[in-house]
Amino acid sequence: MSKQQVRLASLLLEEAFGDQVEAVGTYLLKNGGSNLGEISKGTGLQINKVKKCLVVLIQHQLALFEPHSSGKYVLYSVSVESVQLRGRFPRYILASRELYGQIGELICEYILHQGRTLMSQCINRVAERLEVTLGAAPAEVSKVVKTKFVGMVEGQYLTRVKPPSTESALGQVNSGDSARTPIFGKFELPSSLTAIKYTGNKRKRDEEDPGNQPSSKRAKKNTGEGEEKPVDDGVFWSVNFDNFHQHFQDKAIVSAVRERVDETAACVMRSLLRMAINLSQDKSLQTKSSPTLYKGRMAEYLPDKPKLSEMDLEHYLKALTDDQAHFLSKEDDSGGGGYAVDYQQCAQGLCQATVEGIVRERFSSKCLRVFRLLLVKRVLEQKQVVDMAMIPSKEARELLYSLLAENFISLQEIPRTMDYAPSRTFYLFSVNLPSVARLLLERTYQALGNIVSRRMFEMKTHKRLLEKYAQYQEQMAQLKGRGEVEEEEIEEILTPDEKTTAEQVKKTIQKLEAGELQLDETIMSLSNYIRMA
Amino acid sequence: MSRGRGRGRGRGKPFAGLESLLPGEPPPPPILTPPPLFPPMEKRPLELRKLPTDTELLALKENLRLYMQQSPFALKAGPEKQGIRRYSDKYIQLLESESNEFVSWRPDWRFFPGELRPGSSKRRRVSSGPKPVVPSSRKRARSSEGGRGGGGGAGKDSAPPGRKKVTFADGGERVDPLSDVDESVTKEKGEEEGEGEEGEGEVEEEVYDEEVEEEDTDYNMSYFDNGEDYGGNESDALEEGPFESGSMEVGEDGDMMVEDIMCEGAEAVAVGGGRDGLDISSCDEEVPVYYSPHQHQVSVGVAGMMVKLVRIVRSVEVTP
Repeated sequence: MSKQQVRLASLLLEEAFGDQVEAVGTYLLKNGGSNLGEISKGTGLQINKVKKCLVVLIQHQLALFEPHSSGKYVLYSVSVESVQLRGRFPRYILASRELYGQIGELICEYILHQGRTLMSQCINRVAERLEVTLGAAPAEVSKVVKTKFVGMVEGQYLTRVKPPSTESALGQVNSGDSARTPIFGKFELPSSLTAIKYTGNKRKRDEEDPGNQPSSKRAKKNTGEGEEKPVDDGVFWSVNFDNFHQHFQDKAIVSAVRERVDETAACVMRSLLRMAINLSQDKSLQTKSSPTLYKGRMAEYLPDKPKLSEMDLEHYLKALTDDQAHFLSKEDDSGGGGYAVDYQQCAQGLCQATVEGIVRERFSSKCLRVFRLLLVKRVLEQKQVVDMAMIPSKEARELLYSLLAENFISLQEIPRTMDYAPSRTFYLFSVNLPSVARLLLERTYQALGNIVSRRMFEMKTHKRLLEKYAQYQEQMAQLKGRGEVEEEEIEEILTPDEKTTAEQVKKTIQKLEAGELQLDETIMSLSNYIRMA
Repeated sequence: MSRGRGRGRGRGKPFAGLESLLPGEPPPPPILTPPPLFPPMEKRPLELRKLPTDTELLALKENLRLYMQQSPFALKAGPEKQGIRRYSDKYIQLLESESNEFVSWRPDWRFFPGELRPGSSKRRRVSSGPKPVVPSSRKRARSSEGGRGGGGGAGKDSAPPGRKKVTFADGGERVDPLSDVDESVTKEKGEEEGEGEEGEGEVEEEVYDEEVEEEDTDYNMSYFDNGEDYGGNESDALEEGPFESGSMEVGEDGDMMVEDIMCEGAEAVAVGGGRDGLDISSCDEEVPVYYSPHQHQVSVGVAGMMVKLVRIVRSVEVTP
């Protein structure tokens, strides 16, 4: 919850939801749990507006609410991490495409748009979209969509939204479901699963009013025409981010193995990771190492194409275990050999690689050599660095102190005599990776905040121009080749200068967005390591 | 930023800052200006990675951004009220809501704390006196009006219509049976409208929209000045007109709309004493005028009646 994180979070909120929601969100981030009145006073917005903003935030799983211990009011709070995750949405959507195809991608996209949704609602919308793009009849497509949805739930990429407890002291939080399901199953499919099907073109109107409010009865009476309660009423689904993070981590490990060893080893690693996922109980829990994978049982997970003999498999396992990066660790000798994927070591390796890349770009490759040396040897004196890295003494001194100035390495003084005479003390350099990682993470948040802020500035400054340009493009696309005269008319909307400026601005914005996405990968590897260390 | 200089400085750094200093040289002159905002970079950063996955991610990100801007979740500040309620207001809102398919999200309140429901913090009116017998089957559906959200807000509370104490200029306080009817009418109306709205695929913004508020009227009490007939027609109040006064019931056809009558005479007067009820400007439509049988205070003269009713309504507004 640092200053930079909060700044980044408020920028993301503003971009997605507008400045009212941003004001409420920022206030909650800075001030922790507050109730309605405090928020209204703090932000200067009217209570009604604050209510709406809170509803939006809760819907998107950004804000949490709980009754105050005194029971008099409800406290709302926003967690920074959940806001920051919004920057990763495109990656989640792409991952769903890889795992579950185009339908999976559309499902994931819809749920991310809405925050949380009913299964039936999601299936309807996705089927309608597919109808538009593929021209397939929605009733048939919806069956496939439903299968994919269920598949995603079983893969634990989607999770149920927990209904609030009925024991809230305020007694205002109603939840019809929790009375029936005392133990809340995160991936439990609704009992009405088979009844869920495509319900036609009418807009979904949910009648969710619980029966204990008389006004709702009247509402039900008067709205007559075909307002059914959705079959799976109250069963809301949202995206399970943790599992996607696990997926990303696995991908990163596999690519690391591919670079360090070879392609076949990468295949082996992928199958081992799949095996680990299947064997672990709660797949989204990010533990330090996987459950023990016995060689005897690996055969079913290995791919068919590079057919590995026993000897080869043994060979690769040994290579992965003995590698400096410690991808695998040998746990057991029974069962043909028990191995575990060491997530913590993998995270460290990934973080180290990221930091090394940063050092290389920021300083020079000689600096990187020194840095790597220190990572391996832990603690070194300046003289030893000079000897081992084969760099002249003066240069080595400069490199070391530039690294020290930026806090990538740290200095430890060990006096030999009682008076701390410089000539008679040891000066030991070392690298403290967790602290370096934290520092860099902070800088990365700042960088990301700068990028987002700059992008929004560009969009605001050229808002009018961009709108015109978008309009121009739309019209051009519509009238493709229909008539030269019309095309010329449309061309006249924009002067050539405006056109070039608009294109340049668009390019800039694209570059900034790409920068955001790639910066997010750095954030992920750094924060993963910090969490696991 | 201080570039990390301020951190981790527990121990003295013997050679810090003297990297380029040679022995014997004088130290560099002190720096008097703040460092430049964008210091010149010795090295340019690397180009961004441009794999096909990156291009796809970029496209997805742009789509996401566009969607969120148009979604119902991006709350925009409402259009500035220019003080005057216009006839076109409600139609603009209706048009927007119908055209935009996104504006059809309603939250499932079981997953939200109760206090966030719109209208949950509305106070019940002080109810004093017997409630009128008002049949629940209501009059003409004004669902064509659709656009008023205030009624929806009021409608969600199934509050029994209350009566108001009205202070007349002559100092006498009596329970105003008219106010009762007003409120009950508008309340019922409001509820019905609210339901009518829901029936049409209620727009969430409208439900929340409580902009038709007490203070939102053009005609404040302070602007009102008593006309010449005021106070003099009290004696007429109890005079019963040509119609039966016994029944308090509203006509079956739902024609007698107190507001309608007032519409005729006085434009844009807020009805229902501060309730977020009907917008009177909607009364511009052609409505037949009927005399309500229970308007005790209706004097024979139409003009007098107009003035009377207007005054009553306005005085009702004063009561908090």
